[in-house]
Amino acid sequence: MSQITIPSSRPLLSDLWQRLVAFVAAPASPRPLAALRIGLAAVLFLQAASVLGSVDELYGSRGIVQRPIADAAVEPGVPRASWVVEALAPLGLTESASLRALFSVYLASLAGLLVGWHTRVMAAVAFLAHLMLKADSQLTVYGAYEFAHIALFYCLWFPVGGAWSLDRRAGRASGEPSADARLGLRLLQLHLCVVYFASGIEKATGMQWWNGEAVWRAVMRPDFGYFDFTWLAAVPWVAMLACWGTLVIEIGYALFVWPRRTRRAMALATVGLHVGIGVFLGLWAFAALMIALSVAAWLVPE
Amino acid sequence: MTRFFGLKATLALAHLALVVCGAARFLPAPRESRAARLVLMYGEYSGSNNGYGFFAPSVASPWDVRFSIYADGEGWVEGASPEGNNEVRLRFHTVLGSLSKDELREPVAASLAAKKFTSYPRAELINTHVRVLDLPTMEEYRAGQRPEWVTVNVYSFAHDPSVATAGE
Repeated sequence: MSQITIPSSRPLLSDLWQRLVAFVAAPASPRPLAALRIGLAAVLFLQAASVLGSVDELYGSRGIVQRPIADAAVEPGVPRASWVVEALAPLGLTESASLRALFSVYLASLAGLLVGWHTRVMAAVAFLAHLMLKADSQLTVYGAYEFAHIALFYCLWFPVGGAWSLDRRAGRASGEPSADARLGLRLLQLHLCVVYFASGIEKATGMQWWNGEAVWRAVMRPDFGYFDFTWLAAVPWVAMLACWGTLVIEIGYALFVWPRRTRRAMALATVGLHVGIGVFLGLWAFAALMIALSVAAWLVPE
Repeated sequence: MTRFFGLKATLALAHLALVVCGAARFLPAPRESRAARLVLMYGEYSGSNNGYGFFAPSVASPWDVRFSIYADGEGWVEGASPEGNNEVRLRFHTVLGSLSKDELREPVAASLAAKKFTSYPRAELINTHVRVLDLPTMEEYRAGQRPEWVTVNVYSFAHDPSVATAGE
């Protein structure tokens, strides 16, 4: 085994290097990544099950978005569900039957991922199926699907089956702390920092997020709102505080989630933000997924 | 740290760099170059090309369509909301949101009208009214102004008997 070393005659650089190595490679418990796997698979399974009755509408060539328009929305070369339809057509399967078959494979792979059965294979199947279904319905997918795609990609590479899994029970996966688990956890943590910082900064460039109009407009949209928020116009300071709170949480995430003293509070504040998004805007899948990511990244004890 | 782990860490760092580029909406190569095509394709597979400007810098107004349907000498108006649960409706409203893009408005309107033709095979003409919701500010709301749908475009689509419809 060859080691990477640097000359000891530069103690400051050596110290920094050792800290960096520890940051990305100190063995970590597989539990946080297992929590990512379980949270992700559970949310996606429920989300997929909820659209099972509308597969033709959402993914079919004559659905809500007709095939030529759907194809134009995706980069050429990205696998799509219509490839499966074309491949199965010579076997006599209709488009509807082929789409349902692919969707069934997707659901089954999510179930396998949830329980950690042949985890990496299940992750690969779920990732590919999700990619294909998403590609053929790109104009219908919103933020939850983009984050699902990112998280499934990470499940391909991270040791997400190392804990709370059938693989662990069967001895197919090691439950020992590992450098790979640390690297995966750091990548997830840093990615989330980029997400929230970018989101917060983009919001902060808009006046609506300073004068409260952003929250007002979001809850007044008929496609989101479950509740009557017209009373908010009479107390605009409430909307303003909600907007400022969102900015503080998102921009502050990357700063305050690292120190141990503020980590838990910051992570829980982010969870609270997403609970609000789920309850008041009806974006339950998006909220649940983001909560799963933050919990896995910061709140699961190693 | 082994060399193999060092390689993995380097790849992770490269991926994170692309995540940052995606968040900043920056393409780290000339657009028409082979490198740019590789970066874009990697982004499609990995999700590294995503931006994170949700409801940013402002919350957009919702879009909608209404259909004027003419069949067998009769005409009526109906909306576009599909049957289904919250998740299905969210997916549908995401499509409606794409009507805000000028280059997509007519193609998406045509797609939605085509779906309506499958529901009403005897329809001869469908006018698709594309609308956006004018949301008043909180101050305007206190002064009595209320949300109002504003028609932006009307597209007419006629049934072409020579083109097969779904199920035929």
